[in-house]
Amino acid sequence: MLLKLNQISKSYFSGKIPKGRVILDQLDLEVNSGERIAIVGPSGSGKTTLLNLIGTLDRPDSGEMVFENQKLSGFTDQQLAQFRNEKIGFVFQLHHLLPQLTLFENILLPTLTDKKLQGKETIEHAQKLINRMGLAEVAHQKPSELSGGECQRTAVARALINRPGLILADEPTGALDQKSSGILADLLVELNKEEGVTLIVVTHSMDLAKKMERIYRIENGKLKESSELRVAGFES
Amino acid sequence: MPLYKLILKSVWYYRKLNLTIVLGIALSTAILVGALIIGDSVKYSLQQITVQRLGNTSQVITAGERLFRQQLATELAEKTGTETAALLRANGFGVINGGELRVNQLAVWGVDATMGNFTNYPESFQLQNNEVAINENLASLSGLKAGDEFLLRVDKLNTFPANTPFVSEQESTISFRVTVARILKPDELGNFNLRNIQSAPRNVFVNLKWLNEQMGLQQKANVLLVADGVSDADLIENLQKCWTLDDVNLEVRENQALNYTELISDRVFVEPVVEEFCTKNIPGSQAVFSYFINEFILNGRQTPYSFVSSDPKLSGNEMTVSKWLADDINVKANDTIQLSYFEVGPLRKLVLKDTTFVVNAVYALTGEKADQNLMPVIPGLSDAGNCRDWKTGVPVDLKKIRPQDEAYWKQHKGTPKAFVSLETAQKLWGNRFGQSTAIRIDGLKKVEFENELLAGLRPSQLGFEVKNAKSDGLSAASNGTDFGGLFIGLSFFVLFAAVLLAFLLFKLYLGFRRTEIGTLTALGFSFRTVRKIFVSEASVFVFAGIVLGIPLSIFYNQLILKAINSIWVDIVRTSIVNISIRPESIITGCLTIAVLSIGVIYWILSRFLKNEVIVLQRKATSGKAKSGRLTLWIGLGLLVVSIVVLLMSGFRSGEINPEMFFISGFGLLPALILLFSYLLRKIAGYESSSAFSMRSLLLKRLSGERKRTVMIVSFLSVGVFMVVSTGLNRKDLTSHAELPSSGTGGYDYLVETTMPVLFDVNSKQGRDELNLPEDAQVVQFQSQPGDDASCLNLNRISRPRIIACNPAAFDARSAFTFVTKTDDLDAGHPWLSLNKTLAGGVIPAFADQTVIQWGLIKNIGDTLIYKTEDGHDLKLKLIGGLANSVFQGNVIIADNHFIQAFPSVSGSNVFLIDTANSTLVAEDLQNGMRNYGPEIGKTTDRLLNFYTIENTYLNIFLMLGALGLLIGTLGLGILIFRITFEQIPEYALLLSLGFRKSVIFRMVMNEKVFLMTVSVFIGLIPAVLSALPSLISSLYSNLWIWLPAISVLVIVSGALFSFVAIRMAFKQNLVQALRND
Repeated sequence: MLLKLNQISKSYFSGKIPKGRVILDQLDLEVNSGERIAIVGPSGSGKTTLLNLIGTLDRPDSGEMVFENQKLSGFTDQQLAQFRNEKIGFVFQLHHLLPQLTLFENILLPTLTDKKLQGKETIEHAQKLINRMGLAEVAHQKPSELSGGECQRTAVARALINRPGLILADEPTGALDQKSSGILADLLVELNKEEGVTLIVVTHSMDLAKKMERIYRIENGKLKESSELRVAGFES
Repeated sequence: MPLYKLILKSVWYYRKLNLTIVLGIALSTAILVGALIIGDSVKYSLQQITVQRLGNTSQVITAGERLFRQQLATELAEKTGTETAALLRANGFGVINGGELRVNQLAVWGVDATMGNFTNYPESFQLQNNEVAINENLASLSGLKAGDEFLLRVDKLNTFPANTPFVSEQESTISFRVTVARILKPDELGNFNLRNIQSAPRNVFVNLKWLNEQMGLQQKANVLLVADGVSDADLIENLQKCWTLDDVNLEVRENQALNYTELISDRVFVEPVVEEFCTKNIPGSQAVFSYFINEFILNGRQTPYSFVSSDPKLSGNEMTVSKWLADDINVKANDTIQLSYFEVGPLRKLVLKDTTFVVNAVYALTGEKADQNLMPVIPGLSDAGNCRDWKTGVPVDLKKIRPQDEAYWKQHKGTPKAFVSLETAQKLWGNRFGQSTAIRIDGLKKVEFENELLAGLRPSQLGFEVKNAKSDGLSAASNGTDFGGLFIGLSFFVLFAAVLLAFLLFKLYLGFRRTEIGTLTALGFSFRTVRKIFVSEASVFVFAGIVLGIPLSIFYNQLILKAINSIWVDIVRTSIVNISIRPESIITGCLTIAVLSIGVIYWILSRFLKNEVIVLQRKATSGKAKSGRLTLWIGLGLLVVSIVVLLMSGFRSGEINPEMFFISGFGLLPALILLFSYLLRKIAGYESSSAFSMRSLLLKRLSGERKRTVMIVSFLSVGVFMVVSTGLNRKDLTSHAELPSSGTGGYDYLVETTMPVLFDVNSKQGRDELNLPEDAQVVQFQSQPGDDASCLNLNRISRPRIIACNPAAFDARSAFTFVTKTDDLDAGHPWLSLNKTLAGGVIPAFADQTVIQWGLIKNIGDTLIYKTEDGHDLKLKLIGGLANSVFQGNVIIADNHFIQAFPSVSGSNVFLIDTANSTLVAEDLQNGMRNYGPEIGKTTDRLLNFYTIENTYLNIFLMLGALGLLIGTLGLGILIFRITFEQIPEYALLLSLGFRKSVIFRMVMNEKVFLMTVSVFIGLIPAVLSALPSLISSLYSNLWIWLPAISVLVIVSGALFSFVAIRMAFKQNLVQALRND
């Protein structure tokens, strides 16, 4: 088991609702290594919150998260940062590439946290990822000079540079056209199959979701596996 | 929905976001309007001071050195129907507490009750004998209070000039004990002053009648005040009607026995203008010239001390001698007789001369030849009972006086013993005071003669001058130093910082609303409509800023006025600068800010919208970025040119070279900024094939926002340059002051005496009199009073004081330095050029270049017009402008020109003293000159006094500049805050990539500190280069402290603001920024 979420709860507090708005309510999830999982649900249902909790960008109010048999709740911020850097790769709806860096430099960005990661091997790995993503010709250009699809593929490459065990993708195709979405979705599946990297995708896209092995729907703060969706598709 | 609703809703919605813009505009308004109010306040205060110092005085009548009748005031009042007052003005000094304290340069005013008509406190001037009223300034200087006694020594005024030949100089001053009856406040006319200056005089008011008695005068005055209600023309016309010969020290007397009427003068010699009038206009007028000679000598026999007069019937070197003289030295017709006499030069310099005459005839001492009236009235001489009682202005050897001489004196007084031709007499003995001692007319009645004179002469020809004191004073106050403009200049950087900050924020604000602009465009809003919406919105914020800025401007103004009245008092020399708010200034300031702001906003918006369109069009393309080569070449070009020019202009030690400031500021500084911009461009395009480090990331982040980075660096570096270069250019003239080329001329002391010194202080007698050592070199100046045109005076001056000296002394030591000159100036011997007379009788003159430029608002080569004593125009052409010197405030001419124009001005009261190797100190000078009321100062102190003002301005500029920098860094803080918040998604991304918060924090802080450091260096390099001449010179006390101070101020404040901004940004939910929606 790669990841286990046990009775995870998260609420957001604001002045208008003193008790807070419950987003995740005693949610459970188990993910095995190499799995492809899609999480779907309406806007505001807590998909991104769940993803941020898994990615340790946020902490749950209660419950326990175990990653590779390690309880994450005891981690300090520094340990969590290192954990994220080594174990997790993020892909967002907006690519969030730094506009001043070339694609190549953007891909290398996560390696700056540790000098040990800045060796020749990393450069070669980055080069491989670039080739793999079909970005070889544009690798030394800046994001502003590229298409959305190319930028998003760069973001995927950046997520993979430190060889994480888990890729968390939040609406990775949300800002792309159909063709680019398809290419990216296929790329993610291929990476899962070939590299064995575990994939958790939050999406509204039926096409992307259908390419995952399991689809979970998030409703009232809880996850519900839905086989119907795989067959009938769904609407956001 | 109408468009205005959209605008208003947007304004309301974005009100918090635009608060900083409102504050920026408010600050700009406060500074600009505040500066204008400062100008108004200083102008208003100067006007108030003028009104206070003149009271109800409208015009003033003076007559140079001449004394006129007090009655003239009464007669003029009757004729014109307005109030007048006669005053007797003398210089004086006070000896307080038995000599413990001496206060010099007192203005002693003899006043009577009529002076009360010129103030709302008439009782102030009701003074008994021995009573004085003093003003608060003098009270504060001397510690005197009502009831205290002190010794007052004043210049003894006479109806004749003190330097008149043969008149004794003894008792040129008188002293008496006086009691302070009251201390007059400024509004009680305590600061009564006829000079246009804001600083308070040291006034002593005494009873006019009593002062006249002390001076042995008969109801005389030398200043006549006229209240409002009569025009200058009417006044002059009435003066012509009222004046008498007594007012011009002339007298007509009749000798019925000899059937002649003659005009004589209290001043011994009849002034040339009067003589010329008589001989040209009154038929039968005959000039008479009588002179006091030392000896007749013939064959070893001598007759001492006699008068010789003129006889129109003689010519050449003919002489007729009296029988008495013929008997005395045994002279007869055709004998050649030797005659010795003193030629009296300026400063009572006596030159013993002799000449010979051929005796034409011997006459009997009877009839017209025995006329005692031929002897001029010479006080101390003509009124002496016997020869031994003579008090003369020339040395008389009493041993030479024989019994027969005494007997002659007793019987005939100064009846001439011989006659020579008028031409010869005038040629030998004529002088600046006149060419005759009497004008005689046979058969004309006294009254007729008087009437002819009074009707034909004009008072102005005899020195009378009607000055419109109030309007001139108010005009001088209104046109004086423009503090409004000055403070706008001094606050320039604060203004610049505030305006730039507002616009920077507006630009950021537009970026924030980029999407909205896109939406509006997509919805079919035209470019012009979008611009209209945003300009309208911005106008509301500008308006709000201006409204907020007005009270702030008053607060700013009060702060500055408080400083002007206390720590910056040096620049105004008065502590009564009061606030005055003119609506016009507020409107002008507000309109300027409004027009400027909206104009710039319009421009920014147009550019922004245009760029947005370009960006949209380019989105799909991957156009190649500009190479920036033009930037590189311009930068390199400017750099090379600047360095070459700097090297060529040479780092001449001690010379502040405005070119260097210009080249550094407008060449080197932009060159460095452009090169930095190019470097950023290169960094942005550079990609290492191997290492990609945190340092690379930092540089990439900066270069990615190149325009913004360059803008911040430009802004800060310009501020650093301006403040540091100003701080480094402070002058210190205490060193190298011994050099003749310096502003001291190499002289150690500058002395201004209250009473004139009538003799040549370089003569042995003069040195002994003043206890000056042999090797001390003194240059003495005569002076004609005028306004102080130095930077100590804020009023606009048109006729500064004239000082005159023999320029040879300065020529000998090549003293002082000229910074501007005309072709009339002899480059080899500039000082000797003063001796020339230029075409049209124009007199060459020098002045400090600062006085020419700022005090007089003139150029080199311009002419100043004064009036000579006889009412002619005296044209002084400024042929040389001196580098900052001790002469600041004065116009210098040669003494030979001066005595021609102002023959009545007696003695010197300004002295430059070079003590050479002697150990002469101020105390010695004080003791030697104590009877003249000396104000003794080291020349370096005088220069420092002037530089105090310049340096105070620099201090203000530095303080306001530093404030501007602080505002700049505060603005930078806001900018950083905005940028930091804009970059939150980046931080969130880095966080998601496993960067620790502390690492991100450090990276962002490093980035900001790097930016500040680069800015500081770019600003410091040209600043240090521009100040290099002063840095390698000991003439300047460079404020090295400004280098670290400004650097620390910029870096630390910038870092602090960044720290706060980043901390606040990091307190936000960063992860939220990564949300897809």
